[in-house]
Amino acid sequence: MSARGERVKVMALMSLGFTLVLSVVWEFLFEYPIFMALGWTDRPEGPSSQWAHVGVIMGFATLAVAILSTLAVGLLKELRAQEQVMRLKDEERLSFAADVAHELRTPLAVMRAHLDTMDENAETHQLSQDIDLVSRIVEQVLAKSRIDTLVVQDDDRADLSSICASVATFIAPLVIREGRSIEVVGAEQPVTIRGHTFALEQAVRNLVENAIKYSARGSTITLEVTQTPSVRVIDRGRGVPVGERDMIFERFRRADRRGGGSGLGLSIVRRVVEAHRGNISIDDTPGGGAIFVLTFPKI
Amino acid sequence: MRILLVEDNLRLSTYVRRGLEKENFTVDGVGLVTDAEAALDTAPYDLMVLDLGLPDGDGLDLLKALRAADNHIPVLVLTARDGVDDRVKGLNAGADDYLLKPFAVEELVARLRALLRRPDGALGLSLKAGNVSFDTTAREVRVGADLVKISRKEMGVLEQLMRRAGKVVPKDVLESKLYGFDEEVSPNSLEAHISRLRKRLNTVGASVTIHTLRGVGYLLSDTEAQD
Repeated sequence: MSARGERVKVMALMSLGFTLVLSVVWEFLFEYPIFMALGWTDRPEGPSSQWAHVGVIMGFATLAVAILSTLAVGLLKELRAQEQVMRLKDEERLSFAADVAHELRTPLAVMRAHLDTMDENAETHQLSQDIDLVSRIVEQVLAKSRIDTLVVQDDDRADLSSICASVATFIAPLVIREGRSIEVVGAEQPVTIRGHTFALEQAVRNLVENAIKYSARGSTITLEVTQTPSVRVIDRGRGVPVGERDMIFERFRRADRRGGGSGLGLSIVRRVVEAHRGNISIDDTPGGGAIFVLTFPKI
Repeated sequence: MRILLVEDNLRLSTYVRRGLEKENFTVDGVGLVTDAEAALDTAPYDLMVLDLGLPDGDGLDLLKALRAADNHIPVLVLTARDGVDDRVKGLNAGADDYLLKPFAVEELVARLRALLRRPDGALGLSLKAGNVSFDTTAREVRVGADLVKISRKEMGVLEQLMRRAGKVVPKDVLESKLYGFDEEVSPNSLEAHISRLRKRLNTVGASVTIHTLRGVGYLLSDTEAQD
């Protein structure tokens, strides 16, 4: 029998034992003296009839415990089977996404390498951008399926300061190439939360990529870590109109479909924040732009 | 520099080979583990580019066997799988670097150059970014053909930034490379060196820019290469 089944058995035996003790105490110490005192019984009852009372109570208690235990064990079995099915489904989905990504990357690599052997002109440049976009979608689909199955354990720890610093270091070359700059503030001290580092890095990275797309050339993207604990990703651009603030976290919804992007980035961010029991909101940057605020519970 | 390219996808192999040959590498291409073993036995290669999923075996097994036989040829692994586990497996098996498909040939070339540069710094190295070149043995910096006079500390900064051109050099890494343990470093001293270096490069018409990224570090970019 499983550990849970064992636990149910032990609890059933314990509750029976407890009922036995309680019924003996009740019968001998309370019921009989009270009934005697109130004069509800005209002939004194002997210990044998008191034991008979205990026996009847115990009989009913055993029956109740047996029925409840059978129900509980059945329910547990069903729950376990359901969990197993869900886990298998998650694994299947994840390995399917990984296989799709694997199969798509090789032809993409062939296209990319072929293009790289051609002389560069406007057309090859455009094609190369298209290949980058398809590659990005493949990555995001894979990231999305990983994050859909993400469970943050109670003892998982992540440091928001080092996450922001490492995302900024990783993404800075892209930011500079796109004519923007990036800075990290408030990350001098570690800010530790209950969290999953890989998933949080993915979320912050997606927000910075979003900021690159929607901020003005020549502007700076700021990653701010606060002790709240929170991460604020601040861009200086056109901002997000109030009416669109809920919508943009839905998958394949883009504020501007010409901007490229996989359409999955912000839905991944929301899923990561939810898995951390955190909260996401959007504010305006004074002077224009958007602030994405990710707030997490304190530990 | 002679490279062994182990890749079973014929088209990918052809294009990568063409790209590498353009950059003056000599490339031998094979598509099977057995052919790779035979090639490694017959010719001295400076580097191997290895795809993992090969028709007659796993590239990782080839790599493990090589390392077990005490062969330290630098190996860059190409793969279409990017799970963290896969990456760790690759590096544990003895890969020196790991590149995920699809990749730009330019990126592959940069990684290969970095791997070839690595062994004990034995090669007399000339660093290049835009029109700036840095001879690390003669300690000379040139913009185009002109020699530029730069102070020792600024030269140290420039060398570190050029070694990682296009990538971030964290401030603390730069400071630890530049200052001895017992040297007093004021908080703004590095920034002052950078700012002087930036001005100097600007006056002599260098086509590189040094970016200060607050809280992150410094990045030297080639302005010519940008749109």
